[in-house]
Amino acid sequence: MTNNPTTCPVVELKDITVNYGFYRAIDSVSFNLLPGMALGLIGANGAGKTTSIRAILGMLKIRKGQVTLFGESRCTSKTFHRIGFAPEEATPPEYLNAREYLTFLSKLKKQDISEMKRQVEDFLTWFDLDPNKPVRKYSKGMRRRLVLAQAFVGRPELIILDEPLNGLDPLMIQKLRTKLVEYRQKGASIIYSSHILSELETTCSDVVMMHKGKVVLRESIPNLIQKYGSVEKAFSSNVGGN
Amino acid sequence: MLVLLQENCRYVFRSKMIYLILVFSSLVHLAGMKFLNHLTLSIQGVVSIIGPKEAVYTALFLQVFSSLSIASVYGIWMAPYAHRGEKSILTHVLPVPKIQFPICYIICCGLLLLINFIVMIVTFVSVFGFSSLNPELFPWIFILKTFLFQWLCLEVLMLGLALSSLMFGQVATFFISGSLLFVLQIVGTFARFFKEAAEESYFSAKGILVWLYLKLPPFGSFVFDLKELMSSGRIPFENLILWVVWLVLFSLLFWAKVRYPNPARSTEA
Repeated sequence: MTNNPTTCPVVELKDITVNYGFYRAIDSVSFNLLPGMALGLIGANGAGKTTSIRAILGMLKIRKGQVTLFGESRCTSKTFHRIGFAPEEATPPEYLNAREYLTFLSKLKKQDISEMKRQVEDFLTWFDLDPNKPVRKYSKGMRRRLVLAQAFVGRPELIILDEPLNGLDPLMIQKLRTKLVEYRQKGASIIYSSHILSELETTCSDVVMMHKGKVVLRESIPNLIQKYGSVEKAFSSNVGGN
Repeated sequence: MLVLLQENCRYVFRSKMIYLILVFSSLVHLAGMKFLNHLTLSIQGVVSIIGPKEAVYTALFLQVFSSLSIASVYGIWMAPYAHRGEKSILTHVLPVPKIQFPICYIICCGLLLLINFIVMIVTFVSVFGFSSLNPELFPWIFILKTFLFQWLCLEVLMLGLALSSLMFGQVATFFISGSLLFVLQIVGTFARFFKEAAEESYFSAKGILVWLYLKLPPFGSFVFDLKELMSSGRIPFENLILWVVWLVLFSLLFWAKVRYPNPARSTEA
């Protein structure tokens, strides 16, 4: 992981529109992420958080607009060396065990062998994963932890977490929170999608609020708390609800 | 690329299906070889005993069926495994160029076909003894040529099935490939009738049908080409070109397909 000395955005979305058939999932979405920033994406179900993340990672065809990642307009295999991603719903290959899967990813990220072994063992301990049990025998929570662990392999400069708290126990939620804060302090950037509003106050530096495929608010957490009192109140004012 | 290949091989060897196919393959070869060993044929009063040299040709034909099963299973289940359902998202973000995936599957399927060939040779040796591998008796060059030709054809089949499996699902691929085989048989029959009309003008409907049929992968002539290879040591050049073109085309289509993951597709199997 290296600190980016420039203020060139790590991620920049300009006027992005994505359609699923006739349904417009996101409409003219624009925001950016600067180095060392932790950006929280919040919104109700179907607001367009996951679609925005998929657009960043080049997983879908964009109808209009442009995504820039580390200054490049295309998400290539080289870009993925610098990104760690934990999707909301994902299953690692079931025939592997946690150690094999993390080692496989480390090898792809071309890590030094001794560093790789040390890091894999660290992750296995930290995320409390059974190293020799095949993934197909893992519980839902363990799979979730493995998906989160793989996002940190290779110490990427940008970590994207889509609803990372789903399926995690309270202890792991606390541990993850600490890890993310530490990680950010080392210079990494984070995109954190969640609908648990209070969580974002402690983990993120900035917030992008989405509603029905559009960005309705972009603010830093201190400013947002100053204006509205809390993220929850800001959400009620801009999106609705009590 | 090497890491990807290593991982794919691990998946193949941890899957029990491949072992089943290899056991089936060795049983088929063993039964065939045992049956042919010292078989005496009497045709119009001429008595001939089938020896190792004749048995090799039969073994090669038997081997086509097991190789066909390997390519089909690999194409429908194994190649699309990492690109289906919830796994597709994690595969998408791997730091490898997407074109490496079809190349890796081609190499891995090729290795399986090679193992199947080795099974055939081992079975052959177990029945006819090591002395039968003497280059004067055993047609090594011909075996190599047959392997390369089969490899080319079955890779096209494997990638075609893998593409279909990615687009329509595994179960649907069974029906689609079955129906396609049936339709192609009918089209092939018509094409033979229309050939004369097509030679007069390729711009007529019949002409276009024949032209299109002739540009498809020549699966219909696969066995005949193998026979041709056995008798004259050659394969029709135009068929060889067609196989190569389709291999490149399917590889590019597979690459295009895995560029955008489809997590919405159910996680069958």
